[in-house]
Amino acid sequence: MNEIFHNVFREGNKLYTKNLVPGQRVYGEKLLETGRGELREWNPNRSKLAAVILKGLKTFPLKQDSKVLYLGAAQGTTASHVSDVVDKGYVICVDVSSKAMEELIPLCESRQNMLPVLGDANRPGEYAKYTLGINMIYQDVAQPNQAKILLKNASLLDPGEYAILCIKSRSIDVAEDPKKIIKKELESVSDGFFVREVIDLEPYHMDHALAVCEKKLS
Amino acid sequence: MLTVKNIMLVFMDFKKLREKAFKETINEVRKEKKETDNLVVQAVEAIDELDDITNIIVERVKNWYAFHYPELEKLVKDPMLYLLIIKEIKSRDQMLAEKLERFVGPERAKAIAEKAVGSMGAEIVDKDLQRLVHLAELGIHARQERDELADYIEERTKEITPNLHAMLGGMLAARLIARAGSLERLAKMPASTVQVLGAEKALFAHLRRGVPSPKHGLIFQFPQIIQSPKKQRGKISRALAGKVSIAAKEDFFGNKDISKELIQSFEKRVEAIKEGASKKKGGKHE
Ligand SMILES: C[S@@+](CC[C@H](N)C(=O)[O-])C[C@H]1O[C@@H](n2cnc3c(N)ncnc32)[C@H](O)[C@@H]1O
Repeated sequence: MNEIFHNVFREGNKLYTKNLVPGQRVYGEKLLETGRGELREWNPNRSKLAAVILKGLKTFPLKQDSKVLYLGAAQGTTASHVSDVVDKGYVICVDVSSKAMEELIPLCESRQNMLPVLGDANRPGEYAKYTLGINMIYQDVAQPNQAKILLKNASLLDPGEYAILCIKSRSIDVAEDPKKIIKKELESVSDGFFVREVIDLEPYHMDHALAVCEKKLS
Repeated sequence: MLTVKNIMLVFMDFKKLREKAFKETINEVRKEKKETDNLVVQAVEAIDELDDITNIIVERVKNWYAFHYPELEKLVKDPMLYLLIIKEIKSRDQMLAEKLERFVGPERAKAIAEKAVGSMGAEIVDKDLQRLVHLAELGIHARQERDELADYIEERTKEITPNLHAMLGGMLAARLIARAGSLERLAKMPASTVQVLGAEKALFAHLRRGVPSPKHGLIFQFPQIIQSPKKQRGKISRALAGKVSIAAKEDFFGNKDISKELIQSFEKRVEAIKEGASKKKGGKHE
């Protein structure tokens, strides 16, 4: 078992994070007792971030004390692992769906570094009171205007800080070639960011890519 | 780095912020959930309108097609089946038993085929027939959309008003909400109002579509009431209205699932009503 990033462990093709709330399962994942505390299996088929780590992601901007704005937190599958990693920081979890929020709220209650916000990532002004301190953005909204959404939120970051963008190529245009769509999205992101690393998510998630972006000097 | 953000951070109290977020978010989720009751109301009204539309189309197609094959109306009473046969088989001279057997039993298929041969109706050319067939298709689509809306209402009411849904089923729950105007209004109504809710509307439907006359509200559609002897219906519907009213209050103001308890206590009450009635009866006979 290797600790490849803070609180992230890998053994072969299996990935784990150190469980912030020992005993808690979030989506039916396995728990593993080790000398380094309880580890929670991180399923690459359920979480895009886990998939790219297994595929060899090099730039991993999540640090122990990162203050993350998570756009599109849904039921909190990935967000819970992010919360494991940033055990001295926090995760502001935003989602527009009140249905998702109903599951996310109890999860956030059980994890003292998570904070739930019902909000639309297109309108960062509406959740501004919660995002003052953030220094990293993780975005997975699966919307056609995903690149624009990230740019709208970019002013929350200082230059040199990072954003991770999940790009879903199918939700933009069913007919067009997914590779082309990803390229186009990355081009528009580069208005505000240097794209440092791009990894496609196959075979874990089809027609998806994940980009690690660094905020430019504006 | 001493950025504005870092200075802000020094003053920020995450714990307090988090508490505030919970309060706000929980409130907003509740509010939003309640606002979606309007979607269900729209869907219920759309269903009634689609029913009217379908009825109008069926009448028109029957009148029109009677020009060509007047005997068919008596042979196929089910309106959707009637439209389907016209859509698929079209003209009278195509009404062959083996084709018809896709839609009706062999005997009826034979009867329709035989009557077609000796029909009193006039010939019809393709150009005229095509318009009529399209109209039949439209009627079928309207019915399909209606059925999909009904599924949608089931699903949505289960999310928005789990207690009402468990007690009454999605459709009846949605009709009550629609009639009340909103879940909030329904939740704030006294049980006695809930009991007669929809009586006027039902009267209207009675006049318009010939559904049974309603001396009572929507909850009279509830199977257990329809199936009871007439004399007990009033009491049972009062009991049901009481439980429904509690369910609506929980769905609006709370968020627990109390439907099991409500259903149980309603059923007990019904038993008591039935027992009481049979005792009375017994008494008279003595
Ligand atoms: C693919 S899911 C995210 C899955 C999640 N990131 C995970 O890995 O566990 C996309 C989510 O984005 C949310 N979403 C879509 N549009 C949004 C918007 N404009 N603002 C915030 N959230 C949005 C959806 O409600 C949905 O929950």
